[in-house]
Amino acid sequence: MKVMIKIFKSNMWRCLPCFMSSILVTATLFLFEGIKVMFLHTMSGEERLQSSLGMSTYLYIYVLLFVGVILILYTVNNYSRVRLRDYGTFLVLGCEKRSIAWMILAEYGMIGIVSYGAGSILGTVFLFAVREVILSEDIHMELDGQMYLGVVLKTLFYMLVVYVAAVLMNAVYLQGSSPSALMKFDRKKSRLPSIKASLIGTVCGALCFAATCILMTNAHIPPYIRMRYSLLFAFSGLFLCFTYIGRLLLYLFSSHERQYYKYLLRIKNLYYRFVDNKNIMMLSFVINFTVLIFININIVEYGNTDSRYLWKYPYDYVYAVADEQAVPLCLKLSEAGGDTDAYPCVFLTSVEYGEYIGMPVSAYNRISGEEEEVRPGEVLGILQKHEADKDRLLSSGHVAFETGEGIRRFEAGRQKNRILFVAQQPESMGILVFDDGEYDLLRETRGRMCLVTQTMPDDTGENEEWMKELAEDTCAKLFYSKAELMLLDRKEDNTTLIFYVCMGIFLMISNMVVLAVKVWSEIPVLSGKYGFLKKLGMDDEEVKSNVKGELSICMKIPFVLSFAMGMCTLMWLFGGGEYGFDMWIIFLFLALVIAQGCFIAGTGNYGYRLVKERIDEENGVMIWN
Amino acid sequence: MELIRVENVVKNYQNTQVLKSIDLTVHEGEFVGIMGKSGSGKTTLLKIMGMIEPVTDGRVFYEKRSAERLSGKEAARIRREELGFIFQEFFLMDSLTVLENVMLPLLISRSTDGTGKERAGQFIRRFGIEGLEQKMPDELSGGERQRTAICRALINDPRIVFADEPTGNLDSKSGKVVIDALERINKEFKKTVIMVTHDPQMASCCDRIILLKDGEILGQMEKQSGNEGFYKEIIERMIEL
Repeated sequence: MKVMIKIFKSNMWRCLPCFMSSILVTATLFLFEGIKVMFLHTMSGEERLQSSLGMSTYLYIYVLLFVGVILILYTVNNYSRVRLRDYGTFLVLGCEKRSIAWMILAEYGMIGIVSYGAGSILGTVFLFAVREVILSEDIHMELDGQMYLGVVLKTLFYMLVVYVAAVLMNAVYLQGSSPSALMKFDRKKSRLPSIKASLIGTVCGALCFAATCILMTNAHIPPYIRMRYSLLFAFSGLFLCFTYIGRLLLYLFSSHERQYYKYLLRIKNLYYRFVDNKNIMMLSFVINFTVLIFININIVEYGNTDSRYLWKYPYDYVYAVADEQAVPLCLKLSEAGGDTDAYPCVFLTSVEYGEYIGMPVSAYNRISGEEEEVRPGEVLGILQKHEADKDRLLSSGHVAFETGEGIRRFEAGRQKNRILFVAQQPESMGILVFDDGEYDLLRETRGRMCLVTQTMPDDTGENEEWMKELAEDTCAKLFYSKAELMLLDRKEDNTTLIFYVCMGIFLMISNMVVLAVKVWSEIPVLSGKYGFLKKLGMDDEEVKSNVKGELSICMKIPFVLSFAMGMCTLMWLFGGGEYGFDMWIIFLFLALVIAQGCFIAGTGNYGYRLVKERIDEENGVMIWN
Repeated sequence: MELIRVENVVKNYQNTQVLKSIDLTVHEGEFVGIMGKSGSGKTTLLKIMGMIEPVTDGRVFYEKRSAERLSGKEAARIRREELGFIFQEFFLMDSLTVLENVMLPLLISRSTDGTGKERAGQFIRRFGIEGLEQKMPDELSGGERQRTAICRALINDPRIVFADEPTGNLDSKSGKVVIDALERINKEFKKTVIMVTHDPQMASCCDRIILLKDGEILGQMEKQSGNEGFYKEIIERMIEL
């Protein structure tokens, strides 16, 4: 046992990536679990389901967990490869499998406990720092002892699951392998697909991408189903192409014999490196792509406070008051300056308990500037949302109201989305436009109301208090102040932005850590290979460019792909939309390109230096037959 | 004609002196064997002569040119074009097929003028591994791998072939094939061969044997009679090692 502990101690430095990844993942899980708990505590059950932020918090915790598990398992797997060889040696020397199993448990238990402890402390610091930032934005969030304990236990549970998986993985190898097989375990063999399989795989991958495009452009399929199946097909296509297309390209290239043999060494080295790392590259691509899209969307949305964004609020103040209050209110509002107008309306509740504002077609034409006609027995449904939004007001195609003469049913053949006076989220107000005669009948039974709108171009919010008092004095049923609504919107955008930026930063950092760990793990293999090629006469410049190429391929491919596809997706998302494709995106893209480009170049250079030092020190021979 | 000359070469690894003032000359067309116990410095001497290991002190001349005065590029060119290496552990690249492994020195120098594949095919046939061209190294036996490595050492038409215990990982049958191959390299292809070995049977194929003990040259043996007589002489001298 003493010998085993001594050997483990001498292997401590090999555990460093495991410690680093576990601490990082614990800290981040802790932080996001804490943010999730704080966010969700401010919402009711229904709000959690309705709010996109509530849904996103749930979704992203699982994405985070997935990325974290991959990161930890990857580093643990690298460490295990070395340790399993030692376990094989112990078995050969007469050690029992049971004591080896205890040793594995002790090792991973120690790594898990230490990194969980360090990660929790780090996570707590981050969590309280983020809470302070959120509180400084006047968003009230609680975090009591019980909630904190919940975060501690939940994070512990997640980490326990990951480490149990790691121990089980080792136990399975230990049980299923002979001692001699374990002793050779440190070498990973690449397996290439056959040409036939590559052809079929590539065609299937292309078909998956075609299916994604068809789904994405088909407006008849509901958005949620469209998104779900598009993602499924896109991921399948990506996996198939990453697995098979390289082999096919290599085969096609081999037909150009002269060029093939000229560049064979480099191409094959890069291709094998690609095959060995394809899963991590795919993960890296997905992370990079997602971060680019989400951060950009949120930053653009947050940054859009100029006039283009104000379609949501065409008036500075909107009141809904009883008919008799309309004239005195208009008189008082005209004293404050600006344009005042009034439109007849009625508040309606359908027999299905849907709530609407009713309007005569004449008033609608006046407020919208259109020239619509509505026949008796028909209703024009207007949902106060942007016209690009796919939601519709009356999905059943009709609506019914109780009148003094019994239930009156209206056909809603025509519907549209349009902002008439306000578009307050999440509840979107529905407006029903009636024939003038029928509107009068409804108005008789429901009570006369009036919608008063006020536009004050020079208003900077100084009249707001006075306007509020006016609304109270006139017993207004509805009162909207554009400045107040925009402030609320801004707060929500702010919270969402903090959330996505934190998420994005974590994903990018973890992405880079994964890749850096990967590069680190490649050093012995590359120094062995290029040490030998140097002996065969490969000159230093050639070694340098080959080593850097091999080290950076697993970073360059996801990097270039995610930026190219991210840019295309953002152009598609913003092209023709209400936001516009502006300089913000280009600026952010450039910043991210430069940051990641520097990281890749730095990692490649640093990796080459390590390889060179190792070649000079010893001529490693790890990957050779 | 003198090909390699080693003058007062000393090699230290940290605090251990592996070679102590070695002087040695190898002429063109010779088949030289280096023998000695484990740790006597024979592999280090081979590496120094092959310009893949620097010396601590002393000088190495390749065709009367001092190796230490060669630029990195020139040394790499000489290793690529004029020297061939055969190692005990084969060192075949597991991502390349047998044919591509044989062509490896050509791939490094990117000097595939269209005849490279044909030349590789010729060596593959001569050393009896035809039909295995498209196999991967892990699908071959030890003897087949070593013959692949021998073909690789010869593809660039080198002037000197360095072999470091080439039969060390092989059974006696495969070992015999490799010994025959090295003899052919020397006699048929007229290459200079410098080989490190423990095996007296193998050493008996050499024209000259350098005996190393504790980093010093204990003595040299020249082949006067046939292989069998030389074998007996080697066995007798091995007691001294």
